[in-house]
Amino acid sequence: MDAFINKCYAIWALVIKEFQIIWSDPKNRGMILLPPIMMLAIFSYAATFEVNSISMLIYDKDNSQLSRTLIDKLADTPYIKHLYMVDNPHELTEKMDNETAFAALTVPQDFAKKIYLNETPSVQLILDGRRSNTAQVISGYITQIMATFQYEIQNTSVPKIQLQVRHWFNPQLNYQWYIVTSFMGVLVTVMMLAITALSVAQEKELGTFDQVLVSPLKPFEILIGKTIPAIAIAYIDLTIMIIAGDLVFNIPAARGYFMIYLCIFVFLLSIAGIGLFISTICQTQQQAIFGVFCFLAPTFLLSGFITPIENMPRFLQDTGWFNPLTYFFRLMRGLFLKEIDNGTIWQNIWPLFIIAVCTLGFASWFFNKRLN
Amino acid sequence: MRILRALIHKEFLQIIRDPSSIMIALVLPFLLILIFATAINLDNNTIETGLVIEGNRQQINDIVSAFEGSEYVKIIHYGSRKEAEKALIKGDIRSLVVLPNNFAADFMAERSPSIQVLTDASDPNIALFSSAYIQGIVATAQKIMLQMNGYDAKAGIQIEQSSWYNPELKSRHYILPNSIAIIMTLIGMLLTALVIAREWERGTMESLLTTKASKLQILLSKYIAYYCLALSSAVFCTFLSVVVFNVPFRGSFLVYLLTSSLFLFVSIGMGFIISTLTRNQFLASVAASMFGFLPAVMLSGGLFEITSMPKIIQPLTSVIPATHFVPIIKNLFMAGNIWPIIWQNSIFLLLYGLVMFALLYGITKERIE
Amino acid sequence: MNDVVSLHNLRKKFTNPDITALDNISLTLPRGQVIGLVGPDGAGKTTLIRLLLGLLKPTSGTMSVLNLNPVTQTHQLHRIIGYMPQKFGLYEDLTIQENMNLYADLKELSADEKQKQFEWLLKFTGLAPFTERLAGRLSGGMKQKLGLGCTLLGNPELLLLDEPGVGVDPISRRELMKMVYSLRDRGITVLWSTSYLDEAEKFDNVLLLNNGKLIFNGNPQTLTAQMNNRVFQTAEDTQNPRRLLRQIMRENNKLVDAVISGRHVRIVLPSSGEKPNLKLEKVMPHFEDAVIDILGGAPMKPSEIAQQITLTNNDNYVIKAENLTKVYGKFTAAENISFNIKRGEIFGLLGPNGAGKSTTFKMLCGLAQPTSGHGYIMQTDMLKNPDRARAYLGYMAQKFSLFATLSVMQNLRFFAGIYGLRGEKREIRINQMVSTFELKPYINQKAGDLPLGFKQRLALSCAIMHNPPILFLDEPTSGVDPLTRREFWNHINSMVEKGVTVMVTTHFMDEAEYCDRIALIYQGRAIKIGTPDELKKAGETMEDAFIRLINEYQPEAAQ
Repeated sequence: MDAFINKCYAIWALVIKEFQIIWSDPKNRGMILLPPIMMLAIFSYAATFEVNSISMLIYDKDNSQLSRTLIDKLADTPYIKHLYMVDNPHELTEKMDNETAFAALTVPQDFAKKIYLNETPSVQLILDGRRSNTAQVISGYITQIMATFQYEIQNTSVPKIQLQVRHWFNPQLNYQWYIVTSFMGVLVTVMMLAITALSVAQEKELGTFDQVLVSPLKPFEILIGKTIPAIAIAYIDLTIMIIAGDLVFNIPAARGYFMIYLCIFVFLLSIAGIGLFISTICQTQQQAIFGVFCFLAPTFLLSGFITPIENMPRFLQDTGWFNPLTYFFRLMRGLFLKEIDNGTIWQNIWPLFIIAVCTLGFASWFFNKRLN
Repeated sequence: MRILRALIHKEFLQIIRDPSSIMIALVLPFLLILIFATAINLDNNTIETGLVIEGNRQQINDIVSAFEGSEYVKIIHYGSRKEAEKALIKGDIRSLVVLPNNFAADFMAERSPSIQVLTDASDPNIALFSSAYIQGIVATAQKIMLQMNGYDAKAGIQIEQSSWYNPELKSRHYILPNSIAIIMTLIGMLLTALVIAREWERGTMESLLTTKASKLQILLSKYIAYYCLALSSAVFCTFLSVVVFNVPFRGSFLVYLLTSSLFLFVSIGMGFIISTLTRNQFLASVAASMFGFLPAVMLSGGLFEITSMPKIIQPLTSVIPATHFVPIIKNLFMAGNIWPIIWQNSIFLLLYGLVMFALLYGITKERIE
Repeated sequence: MNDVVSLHNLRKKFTNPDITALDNISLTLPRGQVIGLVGPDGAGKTTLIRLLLGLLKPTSGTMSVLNLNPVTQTHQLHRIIGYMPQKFGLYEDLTIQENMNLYADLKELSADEKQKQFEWLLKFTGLAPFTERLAGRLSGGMKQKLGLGCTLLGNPELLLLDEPGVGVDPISRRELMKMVYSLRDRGITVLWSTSYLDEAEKFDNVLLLNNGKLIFNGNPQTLTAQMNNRVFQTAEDTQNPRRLLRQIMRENNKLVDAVISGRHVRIVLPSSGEKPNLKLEKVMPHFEDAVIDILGGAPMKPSEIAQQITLTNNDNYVIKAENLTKVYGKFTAAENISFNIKRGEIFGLLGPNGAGKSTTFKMLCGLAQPTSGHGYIMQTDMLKNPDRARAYLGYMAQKFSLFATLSVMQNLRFFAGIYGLRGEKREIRINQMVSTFELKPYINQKAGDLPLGFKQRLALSCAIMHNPPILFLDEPTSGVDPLTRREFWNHINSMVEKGVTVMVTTHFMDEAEYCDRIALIYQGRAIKIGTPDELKKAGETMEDAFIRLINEYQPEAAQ
C-alpha cells in the first residue's frame, strides 16, 4: 500500500513537471490558449456549407412584364445578393469565367409569349461547376423560386402537397452548434498528439528522457505521467469551448455536462494512447511530426466531419470502426443536441475503450522493447 | 554563386538523408490525394431516410415508389413513428418522412394533404440537403398525384440546366485542385518551419555565420531547396489527379508552374519566419499547423464559400496565402487560363512573398544576440 | 602591425540576465603563436571568441582582428579566419567528404586548391579511410579533427577554437594538439580556449580570464615557475587516500590545493609556505597549480553532503558485470566485459572515444539491453528486475539532461518526486541539497541559464537526492573548470567514504587517479583492470600509461 502511494507521488511529480514546462514559456501558454479562441472566433463562423450572398447574372432576352416580375422575385430572395444584368452572351461568358457570378439565368425571347399561350417556356440556368456543391445548392434555390413563381402566375386551385419540415435537435439550423461540438474534438486531438508524441521525441533529443528512464519508474508509469497532463490540458481547452458554446452560441447540453465530460475522458484516453504509440516508434521530432500528420489527416478527413461516412466507398467506411473522431462526433452531437439514451452512448464508448487499451498497451509494450 | 550552389547542395543532401522529410514531401501527399479523391465526395449524397406510412400503402403506392426510386435518399421503412424517431435520435437515419393516415383521403377531397418531415439538424448540412431532396421528390409526387386523379397537369416552366467547367458537377474536380493547394501549404510551411529551428538547435548556424556565406545566401539556399521539394510534390499530386483520377487540366502547365512558384514563395517564407521566431522544433510545428495548415483548409475558400462567411471574417481570409492560390489552381484545372483571376492573385502573391522575404531577412540575425 | 589581435578597453555587457561578460580587456596577440584561453566557467572565454569573430557586438572599446574591425568588416574578416564552435558545428547528416566539400565551397577554393588541401587535410587528420562516413557516426575525437580540418580549409591566418578538447580522449587530444602545433609552424596563429589546464601548459602564451577580467597574459612557464617549492606530495603510500585527504583538508584550511594522486595526496602550499604536519616530498609544479593559486585556491572544506548518509547494506559486490556483450548489427560494441565492484569503491571506466565504455555503462544502468551476459546491481538482475535495480541508482548523464526550462527548485522537486520522496522528507532533503551545493542564489533561475559549474552541481544534487547507494557518473566533469571539479570530487569522496559506490567514466587523467580501480576499455574489451598504480609504470603519468596500454594492445590484436 505504501509502495503504491509512493508510486502515485512519483507519477504526480511527472505530471507537475509537464505543467511547469508548459507554463515556463509564454509561447507554450499561447499555444494552448490561442487555438480554442481562434476556433470559436473564426472557424466556427467560417465553416459553413450554407450558401448565401449569391451573385447572379441575368440575361433577359425577353424583357417583358413577366420576365421583369421574375427578376424582381429573384432580387427579393434573401440569399441572392447581387443581380448583374448582361446584354450579350459574350459578356455572360466573360463574367462567368472570371467568377463575378456563381450562376447565370437566361430568359428566352418567347418566355412571356409561351406562358400566355399555355406552352412550356424554358429558361436556361448556367451553373459554375468549379464549385460543384455551391452549384447544386443554387440549382435547388432556383428550382424552388421558379416553382413558386409558376404557382403565382397560374393561380390554380389544384390540391398542393404541404410539406411540414421540422429540423430536429437544432431548429434554427445553427451551424455553430455543429461546428463547435465537432471541431473541438479535432482541436484537442491536434493538441494532445503534439503534447504526447512530439514532447517525448523532444525529450529524447535533449537527453532528459534517459534521465527519467534510469529512475525506478516502470515504462507504463512514465507513460501515465505523459498522459495525465495531456488529458488535463485537453480538458482546459474543451472547457473554454464548452463554456463559450453555452454562453455565446446557446448550445444545449441535452444529456448534462457530467455525461459529456465522462465520455470525453474515454475519447481523450484513446487519443493519448495513439500519441504515445507514435512517440515510442519515433526518434526525432520530425519523424514524430510525420507520424502525427499521417494519423491526423486521414482520421480527420474520414471522420464524417466534411462528408458523411455513408457516401464513402465501402472499404473506407470500414475504417470508421477504428476512427476515434467518428465516435467522438456521434457522441458529442448526441449528448449536446439530441439526448441519446445510455445504450447509444455505450455503443460509441466501448470501441473508444478498446482503442485506448490497445494503443496504450502497445505503446507500453513497444517502449519496453525499445528500451531493451 | 558558388557558395549558394554549395549551400543548396547541402540542403538537398540533408533532405535525402532524413527519410522523414521525403516521407512528408511524397508519401503524405500521396495518402492525402488518395483520400481526397475517394472519400471526400460532396455530390450524390444518398441520405438514409426513414419512411413511416400511417395509412394504407395501397392508395399511395405511387408516392411511396417515388421515394423508393430516388437516387438521393435511401428509404428505410419503419412501422411506427415512435420507432422511427428513436432511430433518428440514435443516428441510424438522417431524416424521417411521415405520410399521415389521412393523406390519400385529403388529396381526394382537394384538401391539400400534408407530409411531415423531420431532419436530424445536429448536422445542419445534411439536414439542408435532405430537406431539399425530399422537396424534389414531393414535387415529382405532386405531379404523379395530379395525373392519377385526373387533373390536367399544366405545363410548368422548364429549367434547362447546364453547368460550365464541370458539366457533371463532380466534386472531385474541384476538391483535388483544392487539396493540392492544401498539400503545398503543408509542405511549404510545416517542413520549412523545422529547418531553421533545427539549425539553431544543433549549433550549425553558428558555424555557417562565420563563413563567407552571407545571410542572403543562407536564406536563398533554403528557399530553393524546399521550393524544389514542394514543387515536385505538387507536380506529383497533379499527375496523380489528372492521370489516375481523371480530373481535367485545361490551363497552361507553364502558368501552373509559375503561379505555384509564387504561392510556394509565400508559404515557404511564412514557414521560415515561424522557424526563426520560435527557434524550437516543437513550437514551430504546432504553430505551423495551427496558424498555417488549419486556416488554409478552413478559410481559403476551397471548402467553404468565402462570400457566405460573416462580414468580419471575410477580410481575414485574404491574409491567408492559399486564398489567393485556390482560385488560380481551380481555374487552371477546370476552366483554363482565366487571365484576370491569374493576374490579380499572382500580383498579390508576389507582393505578399516579397513582404515575407523582407520580414524574414529582417529578423534573421547575423550575430548571436 | 604584426599583432593579430589588438583589443583596447573592450567591454561586453548582456542584459537579461544582467551580466558583465568582459570587463575592460586590453591586449595584443602576436602572430604565429598557439595561445591558450583559460579561465573558470563563465569567465568570458566564449564571449571573447564571439566578439573577435563579429558574432557579437562589444558594448564599448575597440577591436582590431587581422587589422580589420570585426563589427564593420565582418565579411572580409570571415575570409581569413577559421572558427570551431563549442557545439559540433558540422552537419551530422552529411559525410566527411560532403562536409569538407561544403566548407571548401563556402571558402571558394578553386578546384585545384581544393584537391590539394583535401589531400593534405585527410592525411593530416587521419580521416582518409572514413570519408564516406556520416559525421554523426564519428567518435568525439574524430569529430573534432574533422571540425578542425574544415576550419583549416582556405588557409586562414587566425584560428579560433572554442574548447576543442571537451569530451575527447587523451590520445585524440594529443593528436589534436600536435596538429595545432604543426599549424603554428606554417605561420598560423591559434587561439585555443580550454578548461584542461594540462593542455594550456604547453602553449606559447596563455590568457587567463576570471569574471570577465584578464588576470594573466604571458608564458605559462613563468607562471608555473612561481610555484616551485610550493608543491608537494605525501611521502608514504596510504591505503585510504580519501581519508588522508579529508584529514589534511580538515587540519590545514590554508592550503591552496589538495588532491588525490593514486596512493598519495598532492598538496599546494600557500605563498606563506606554511607546511602541514606531514612527511612530504617535493614534486614538479603544474600550470594548474599556478592557476588555482591565482584564482584564490581550492575550497579546503570537507564536504558535508554525506553527513546524512547511512547505508546499512553490506553486500560485498554491489555492481557485477558478467560477460556483458552488445552487438549492433555487425559491429560488436562490447565483448565479454566482466568486473565486480565492491561497496565503497570508485570504479573508473577509461578508454578512447567509441571504445565501448558508454555501451558498457548503459548496459549496467539499464539504458541498453545486453545481447548476452548479465548486469547485477545489489544482486538484482538488471534484466529481470530493472525498476528495482534502478531504485538503487543515481545517474548523471554526459550531456546536461535536466529540464532546461524549469527552475532549479522545480528540477529538485521533480527528481525528489520521481524517486518517491514526499512531504517533510522531501523538503528536508531539498534544503540539504540547496545548502550543500549553495544553490540558494539561483533557486528560481532556469536550469538552462545556469553557469556550467552550477549546472553540474544541480545535476549531481538531482542524482543523489534519494540517497542512492550507487552512483553512475558518465563524464560528469567534461568541460568543467578545475575548481568546480575539485569541489565535485570533494562531494563524491565524502559519499564514497560513507559506503557509496561510484562508477565513473572520464577523459581527465587526473580524475582517473581518484579511482580505486580502473577498467581500460578498448575495442569493445576490458583490456586491463587494476588500481591506478598497477596501470602506471614507475615515473609514468596516468596519461602516459593510458597511451602505452592502448598502443601495446594494438599489435596484439593485429596478430
